[in-house]
Amino acid sequence: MVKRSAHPDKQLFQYLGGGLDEQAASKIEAHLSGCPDCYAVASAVRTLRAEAPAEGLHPGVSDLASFFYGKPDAATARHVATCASCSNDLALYAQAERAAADYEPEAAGEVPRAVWEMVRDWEESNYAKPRPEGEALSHEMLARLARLLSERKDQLLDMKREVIANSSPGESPDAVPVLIIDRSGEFRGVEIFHREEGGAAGILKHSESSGRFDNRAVHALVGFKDREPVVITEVIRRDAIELNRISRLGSDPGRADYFIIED
Amino acid sequence: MPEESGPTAELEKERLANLGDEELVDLFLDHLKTDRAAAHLYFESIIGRYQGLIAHIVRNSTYRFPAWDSADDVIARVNFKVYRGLALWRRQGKLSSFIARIATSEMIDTIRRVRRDKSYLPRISRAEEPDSDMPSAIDRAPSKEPSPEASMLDREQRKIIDSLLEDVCRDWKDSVIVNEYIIGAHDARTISEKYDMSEDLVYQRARRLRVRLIKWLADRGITSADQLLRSTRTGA
Repeated sequence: MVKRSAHPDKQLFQYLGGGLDEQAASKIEAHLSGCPDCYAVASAVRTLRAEAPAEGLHPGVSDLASFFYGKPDAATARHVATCASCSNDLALYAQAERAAADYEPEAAGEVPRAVWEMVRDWEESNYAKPRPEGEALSHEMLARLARLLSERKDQLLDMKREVIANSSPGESPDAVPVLIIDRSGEFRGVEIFHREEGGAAGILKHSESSGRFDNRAVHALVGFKDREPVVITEVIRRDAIELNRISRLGSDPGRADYFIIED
Repeated sequence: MPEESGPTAELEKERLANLGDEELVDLFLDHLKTDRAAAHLYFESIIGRYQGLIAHIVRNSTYRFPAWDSADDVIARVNFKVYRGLALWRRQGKLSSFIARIATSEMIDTIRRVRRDKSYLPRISRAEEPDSDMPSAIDRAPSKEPSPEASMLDREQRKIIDSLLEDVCRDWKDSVIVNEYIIGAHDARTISEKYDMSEDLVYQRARRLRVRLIKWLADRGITSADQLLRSTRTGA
């Protein structure tokens, strides 16, 4: 029997990872041949390596956080032991915890404006889950969209002209530049959609070069009729936006300018 | 957004700047339902102190945010979640730790959401184009469906390995050391830096894990990999 102190603790795992030179490796092999405990450990570790990539869903973020902050959870412990992604997530908590421990509160910094928008949404919704409904956009938000539209009008028209100029001869794409706005009303970019046949008033389909709106929640499509903003539709989970809902508002989709409010 | 300005507001801000975190949080919670403007002012005083920490956590990550969800968006959501969750702060821990936890969770949530968004993945090859004649990666991949017998065996093997890991790993440090040191064969220094623990702790934990592993195997009379896998078949 080998004495406990003689077990090559560090070197055994290094050996199993292929991190030892030939001479050191042969020492471990000699030890393994005479030590049933280490042989069993080596055997189990090899099995874990061969068999153990994590299966199933990752634990939820709050479960992972609770696990990091000390709540025992056998299922999470087992998952993390074989999941590189969740293990890396725990490293983020460890690094953040270190930063928090070292942090000296400083003179008050500025709170981003978007935070107050979220706070107001939340308070106005009577502290419900903070997710804006498409048709519950505030007048303030609509006014902001109107401002953005007038600021970006030239850019939108230029993009439309460019798409038409680059299209093949004989093809006349009905390009529709769409402003993308986040839920706090911040401008995120312009995307080109194409109007296609379908529905009562056509379909806006996102340009093929990007599948960005696949499976993404689009909160609201906002159009302008006679310079007055109208909400055309609400949450849609497709890359194509059916415009036939406009008809119920009596609007003319051909003259509408569009915004997508996304999460 | 708190809109007060002028000398009185400045004096009030100065007074709040001299209060401790706990006092400010108490004031915030006391006024949340009765006087929102005051609650906002208290919140601004609290969270303003920690903007540097939030920005550090979010911006120091090596994660690359997509264009539609910038670091600024994440920072805003962290601020908002702190606002929503301040009542949950347990006073025995530092407020900085509470905020760091929210910031990190929001980061991880963002990373996971973007990973789920297939539109963010770069195109792999022309074969992925919908009208391509080339077989797609999915078409080329061999079937992953094992036979019913093989999948039953896999399930049983997985069960025994899961049971081993559940018994051996008692906390997050055990789990990451099994993952990175024992299975992943990464060196202790890298792990200690990544997870903010000492190198000695990595070795110490690895030794303890090894002892638990030996006990777990001995309790089941397992001395080799073959036996470990066979035990799944006999239900050991």
